[in-house]
Formats: sequence, structure tokens, C-alpha cells
Amino acid sequence: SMSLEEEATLVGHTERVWAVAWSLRGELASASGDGVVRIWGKSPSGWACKQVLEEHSRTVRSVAWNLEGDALACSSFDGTVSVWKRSGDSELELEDGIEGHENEVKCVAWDSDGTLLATCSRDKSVAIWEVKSNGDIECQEQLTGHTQDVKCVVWHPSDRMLVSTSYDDTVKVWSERDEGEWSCIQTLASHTSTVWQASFEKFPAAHQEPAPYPTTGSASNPRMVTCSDDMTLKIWNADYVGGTIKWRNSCTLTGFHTRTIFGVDWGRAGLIATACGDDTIRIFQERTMDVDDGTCGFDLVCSKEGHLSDVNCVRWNPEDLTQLASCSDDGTIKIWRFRGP
Amino acid sequence: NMTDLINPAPEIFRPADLVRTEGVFDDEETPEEVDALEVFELIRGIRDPEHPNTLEQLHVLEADRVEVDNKKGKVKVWMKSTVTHCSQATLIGLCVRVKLMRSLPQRFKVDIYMVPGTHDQEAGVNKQLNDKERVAAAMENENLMNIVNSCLTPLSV
Repeated sequence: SMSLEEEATLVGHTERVWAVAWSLRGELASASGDGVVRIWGKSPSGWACKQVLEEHSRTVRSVAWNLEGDALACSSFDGTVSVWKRSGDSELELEDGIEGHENEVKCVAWDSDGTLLATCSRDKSVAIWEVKSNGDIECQEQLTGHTQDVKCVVWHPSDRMLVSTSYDDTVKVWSERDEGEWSCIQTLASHTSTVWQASFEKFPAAHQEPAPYPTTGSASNPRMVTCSDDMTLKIWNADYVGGTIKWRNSCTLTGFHTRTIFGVDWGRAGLIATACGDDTIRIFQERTMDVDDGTCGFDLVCSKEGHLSDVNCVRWNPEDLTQLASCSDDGTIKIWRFRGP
Repeated sequence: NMTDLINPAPEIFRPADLVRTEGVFDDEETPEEVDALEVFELIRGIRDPEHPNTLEQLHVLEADRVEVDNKKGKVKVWMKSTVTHCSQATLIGLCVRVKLMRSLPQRFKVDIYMVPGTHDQEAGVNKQLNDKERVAAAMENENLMNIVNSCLTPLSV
């Protein structure tokens, strides 16, 4: 059978850990209610905290590495975003800050080029920031439309498209119509409570082996998964109608989670992992054979009560496809290995 | 100024005479067991933000509207609003949540709801009280926490 085996527990934060993010160099950044960001790395003697970033005066809610792993953005309840950079293997140094939201910045995300940052806030807005080559950061656009807090922003892996999820129970899809001009192209209103996160389907990179758990999706047209306080996961397919993209809820996974689903990650191995308020990490695999009409093509293949309190975030390692990181209200981060049959 | 109060003349109730059944949860093996009455005792003395009364005296909280499931680690509290348009409901609910967060073992999941039909913004209040990110942000708001902490300070008799 399939299992999650614990490889390490990372202890150091003194409050709940809200988010973790892998760099392509195999390091992990973590954001906590204790107001600091920790950078963790694996050495021959095991996992250790390599650096502590102390810049924010309140909870750090989210962290995001750029593609190269030489820049890290952190968003905080103090209303700001800090951007850190490094050259080579040196320590991260504070490069710039973003002040523009009225209150808590709940999420920050780099686009695939590392030139744009997206942020979202309790002020109900989504903002897009241009990171100039000289390090300056300028607001490109502030997007309004959500009627409540915006919980999460995620970039499409290849297209100039951004997805935001909100306390207003909707998901909004934003697209760049003209250079630097963004607008909402679709509002997805299927969830019945707060949508906490979204994640796009991912595939192995060119230098990697094929996905160990293949899916029916394609890298050129990835699907999306959203998770909600309504205790469901929703899978969304992108249909192209008259040259424009239309997202369609193709599948809803109901009955697996017993409390709010705070986090979801669709990894390159072809597996979907979830972080749930019932202290449990769950792994779903697509059923590529015998998909009956109308039934959901995803199976729960592993369920692990991995923490002593709510699990807030799960992230698959993009370079080590079956390795998973999780973090929790219990103050710990755990590294897991998913083992198939 | 009494005319500014949401409910200027609330009905005051006498605190209930509650007797704990001794020895029910004194199993050495499970020291973290709590019962509904124990949870009620933690929150019954919370002071209303705008009246010199406890939430129990205003019947916002009652012993039989607390539910505990030790096995599943769940605590549920239903609050009754004294008036259906009470704008203090989220603040009162925050006081109850903060008190329980500080007092209960971490393994307990706490859900706080309005008694159905007692508040005209019931769904919105319930959602806000149970969104832990909003609660966390509120708990970092110094002004708000000053009010919460004063409501959690026992009334001098």
C-alpha cells in the first residue's frame, strides 16, 4: 500500500507555521506566527536551520522563492512584503520592501520569469508588482473585484494568468490583455465557503524522469485544484472557447476531509496533497484507467495524521518529486517521503 | 452614554447553580479530559463589552449550549445574541475563542456559532468567528486585544 514516511521534523518556530516553500536548490523557507522566516537546508548530518530572517513586526503569512532560488519574497500581517536576495551560496539579504496594501498581506507569489510579484490582502485587492533589474519594485496594477479578503494568489505555470482565491467563496482568474493591463476574465463560484488556496497541475521538468504517477493532463494545458472551508477539493479544466480560456469544474472531491482544507499542492509526481484542519495530510492520485462517466477520477491513496494540530500548508519538492513538506499549528515542519505500492 | 448602546436595557439573569459531578473524569491515563461544564466554567464569567454583566448573566452563554467530544477533541459553543442586530457579536465571540485558546489543551478544535435565529448576520458572524486567519490577525491588533483582555478580567464582586 501507499504511505507517507517521516524523514525529519524541523523545530525552531515558537508559534504556528503558516507556510513552507521549496527552492529549486532543495532548501525550505518557512513563515510563522512568531514573525520570522526560517531557511532550512539538508547537510550530511541532517536538516538544520541556516538563516533566520527577522524583518516583520507581525505574523509572516507566506513565503515564495523565485525560479532560480536566489530571491525570496515574504508577506506579513504587518501589511508589507519583504524581498530578499543573495548571490551564489551567500546568506539572503534584504533587498527591498513593498508597502501598498492597507492591511494584512496574506500571500505573495513570483511569476515564472521572476519579474512580477503578485500579492493579495484583507483589503480585498490583488496587486501586481514589477521587480526591475536594478532591484526597484513598482506597482503595475491593483486589481479589485473580490468582495472580501483575498487568501491566495497563484500564477499559471506558462501563461500570463493569475488566480486568486477569497473569503468571498470565489476564485477569480486574471489575465494580461495588453502589456501591463490586467483584468478579471472569469469568476468561479462553485465553492460554498472560503477558498483557501489554488494549485496548478505540474509536470516533471525537461531534466527529470517521467512522473511516477501519470495523470491525464498535459503540460501545455494544465488543470487547477482549489481547496475550501467547505471541505471539498475542486478540479478545474481549461477549455478554449472562441480563443478565450474558460475554466470548468470537472470534478469535486467530497467526503474525504473533516474540517477546513487550508492548503493544496499538485506536484510534479502527479499527486495532489492537502493540508487539513483535522491534523491530517492526504494524498490523491488520478485514476487513469476505468474512469466511469460522471464519477470523480481521483482516489485517496494515503491519509496520515501527521501533526498534533491543524496542517496549514503542504508542498511537494520540485526537484525530489516524492518528497513532501508540511507545516502546522503545532509549530513544526515535517519532511515526508511518499512511497507507492 | 446609554443611548449609544446596542441594547440599552438587557435582561439580566441569575447565574445557574451548577454542581460538577466529581470523579467522572479523574482517570490518570487521560489527564486532558474535559467536560462541557468545565468549558462553561472557563467562559461564563467573561464580561460583556458594554454592560457590567457577565455573558452568563445576559444568557449569551448557557451551560447546555456547550458541547464537548473528548474522543474527537471537539468543543462547540453556541452564543445567543441579546438583540438580532448586535454589532458586538464578533467581539464577544472573539473573547470566548481567546479564552478557550488560552485555557484548553491544543488538541481541542473549537467551533463557535450563534444560536440559529438570534442574529440577522448569523452566517457572516459564524464565518468570521471560525476563520483562524482572521482570528490570528485580530489577536495581533493591540487595541482590540486590550478590549478582549478587559472582558476576560473577572468582575470584582
